[in-house]
Amino acid sequence: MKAIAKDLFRILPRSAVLQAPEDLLAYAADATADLFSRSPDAVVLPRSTDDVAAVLCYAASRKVPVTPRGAGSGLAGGATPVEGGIVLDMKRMNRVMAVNRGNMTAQAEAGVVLENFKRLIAKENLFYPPDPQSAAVCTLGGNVATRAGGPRGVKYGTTVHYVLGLTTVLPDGEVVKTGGSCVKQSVGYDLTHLFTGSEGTLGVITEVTLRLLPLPPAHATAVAVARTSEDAASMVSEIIARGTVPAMLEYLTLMAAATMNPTLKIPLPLTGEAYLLMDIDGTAAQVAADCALLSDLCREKGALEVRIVEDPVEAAAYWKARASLYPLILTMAKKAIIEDVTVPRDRLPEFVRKIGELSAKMGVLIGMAGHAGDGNMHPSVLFGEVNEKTMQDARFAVREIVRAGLALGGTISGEHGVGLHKAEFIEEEMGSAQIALMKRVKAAFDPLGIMNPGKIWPAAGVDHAKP
Amino acid sequence: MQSLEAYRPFMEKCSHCAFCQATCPSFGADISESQMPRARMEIIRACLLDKSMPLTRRARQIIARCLLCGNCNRTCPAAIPVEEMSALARAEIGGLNPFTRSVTRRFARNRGLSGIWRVAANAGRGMGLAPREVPPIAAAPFAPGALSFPAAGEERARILYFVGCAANSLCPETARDVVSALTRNGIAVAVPDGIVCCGAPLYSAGDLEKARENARVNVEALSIEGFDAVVTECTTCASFLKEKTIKLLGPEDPLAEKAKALSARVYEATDYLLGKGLSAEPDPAPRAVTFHVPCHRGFSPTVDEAPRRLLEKVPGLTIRDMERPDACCGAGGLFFAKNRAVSGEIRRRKLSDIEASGAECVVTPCPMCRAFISGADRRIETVHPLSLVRYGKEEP
Repeated sequence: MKAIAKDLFRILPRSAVLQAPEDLLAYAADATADLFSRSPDAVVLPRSTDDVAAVLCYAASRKVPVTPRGAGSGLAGGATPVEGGIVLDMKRMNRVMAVNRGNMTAQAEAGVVLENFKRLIAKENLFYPPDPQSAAVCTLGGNVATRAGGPRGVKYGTTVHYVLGLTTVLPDGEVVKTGGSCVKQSVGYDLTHLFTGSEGTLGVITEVTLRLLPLPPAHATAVAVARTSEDAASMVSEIIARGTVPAMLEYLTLMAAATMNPTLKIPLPLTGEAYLLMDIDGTAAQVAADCALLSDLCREKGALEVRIVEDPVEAAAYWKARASLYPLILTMAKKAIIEDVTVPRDRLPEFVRKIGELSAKMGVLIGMAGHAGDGNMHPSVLFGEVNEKTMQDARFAVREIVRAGLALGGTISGEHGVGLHKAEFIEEEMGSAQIALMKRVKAAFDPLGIMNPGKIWPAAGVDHAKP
Repeated sequence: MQSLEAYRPFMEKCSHCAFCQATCPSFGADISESQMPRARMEIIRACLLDKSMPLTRRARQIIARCLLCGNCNRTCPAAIPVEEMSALARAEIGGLNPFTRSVTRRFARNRGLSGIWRVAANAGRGMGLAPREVPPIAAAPFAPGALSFPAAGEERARILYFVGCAANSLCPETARDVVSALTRNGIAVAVPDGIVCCGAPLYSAGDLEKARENARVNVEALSIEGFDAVVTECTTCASFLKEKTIKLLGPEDPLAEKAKALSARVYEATDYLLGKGLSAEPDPAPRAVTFHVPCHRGFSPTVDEAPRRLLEKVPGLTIRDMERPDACCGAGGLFFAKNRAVSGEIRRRKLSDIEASGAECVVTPCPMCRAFISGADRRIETVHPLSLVRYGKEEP
């Protein structure tokens, strides 16, 4: 047994520490397993903020790296223990402490699974919009740490817009409570939102206080089939420009539609080059009016077909297939690198055209499916064969995709976070002054550098980021 | 399902998305990633295929801690059958000790135990050698050999009734209720000679050779002309006859074609009766029930809802749906006998959902779910759905 595990057994109950090689293997990677994998030295499964504090006190005293982890469903390698040490699996901290209908807020532990949380508050007619496609497993803590988004971003924003307060354990074991339950806060530095999106590099989030909305009473799902991908992209910017905001506005390529089709009872017609999948919510009257408006608008922009899906079961099947797109892709391709580039919405047609050109020029297959309504595309580099040449091509393609996005005033990540895989591009986006400032912030919180090392920016002298 | 090696392409399709955490009962009970299907599959690959890790006690434990519910397969967007990998891995490791194996084999051959074996098994149960949730073995099995029951009134169909082991020897009253509900609805019922256990308990114990042998016996025994369908009261038996038999035998087996033909004719009893439609309104049953959906439901798109939709037609019955009716109860066949803590934790959640429903009785077709939900003290009443479809007092 490793010394770290032995020490941990002294401070925590036996059931809270895993150290067998088989257990450690389970924590070696997240959803980016083919890109990076390394077993930690020990896994801790805390049940309370106190447990987390005890682990961090120990880690600080021995300078052991600590990697906080939610479901391990991340697409940027953020929860992988690249330098070994301790993985803090937060999933056993899964209590919802309070749902306050009067204040429209809820307080929950970091390990609460998003979908369970949504189901619970829906009983009180409350609504928490962020909807990363891994909602069935991902955790509130992981969502806050990465600023997770999802299709509803277009109308409702992402996790960052709902975080009111946090309990965070600092790298030396000190517990700080930031923010609170007030929907307006104007005192001091906004540390709550500094931890939000910090990807476990500043501390471990153990409890969250979230803002909630009333549950929209009515929904409709609509599909528009576009002749070309640029037609689809211009429909998106037109929809937004006209001020109709669907709750979800997804862009799918022909390939994505074909991937989804086997799971659909009424398949998508494979006649167009691109597809828009939309959810419209609100009061019944509003939904009906918006549906009519969106249909007209898409037809005006040359849609081959606009389909309103009335049956809720059928509609749910579309969204489930959309949520499954990433795992489904691997039933067709040997490997996929999912990017998260986001551009201003009016630049979407240009971005789509550029990616198309890039794909043709390089002979690399680039799938596109994304939350187009908020400019958050997920161009994915797909390969049939994995070898040195295809890996090199992929690496080059990723670089070009990122540059294309940045050139249009975009960002390298809309909702997945930087993690391990986008670390090499962060300087290109943010510039050296911002990076230097962020590193000073990091040093102020984590002078020993034990919190999730290797993430957000590459660790000095180490290149973890194989493409 | 001939070798683990054949599952390598499935393993390579895994995107590591972690969606399998959502429904794996073993993960839910432990909430550690070592117990999620993604990790179980990786461990099976590392220890048994790539041999990059030694097959330690811990590895065996993780592989054994799969209830074979199939939720991973259903939840995985790429439909990766981790459950089948677990079964094959167990076969490779060798699960049961020789004594348990010989008792399991004997039970599976006879669909129960008789004579001295029955006395010994019941005595062992009394002494705590077997879990108290499992009912004692009845003195007289329902169908020691072939039986036949004519349809009451006009005959609408003729079926072969595959009596599951539990209904045959642990709760024969269920088998009687099934026959009554079918015959009173114009369905003539025949129990064929020579059927043996469907093979599920053998499969679960890693005894795939014996499971195959049983599958072959059943394929022969059930391939009789002159019947419209093969019907069983147990969800697991149905899934075995319909899906697993073909997979276990494989395309090369001399009986492969027959197994396929059989598969097309297999139904779970409530699913079958619902499809036929009730010919008369059943007697009133003034009670509040809730439905538990057994795990092995993947073979039919309607089997999960069938008991509920059938019992909607019973006058006086109040349905109180529980949350997550299709969440595993923790039994996993006889998994609970060896994994008390895991199963107990899974059952704890089920019991709290049942209690919250306010129902007085749990309805489910699976005999092991019924036994395990009832608990050792039989605190909760559980019944087979067809036990609530009654007509007068007359016996079939």
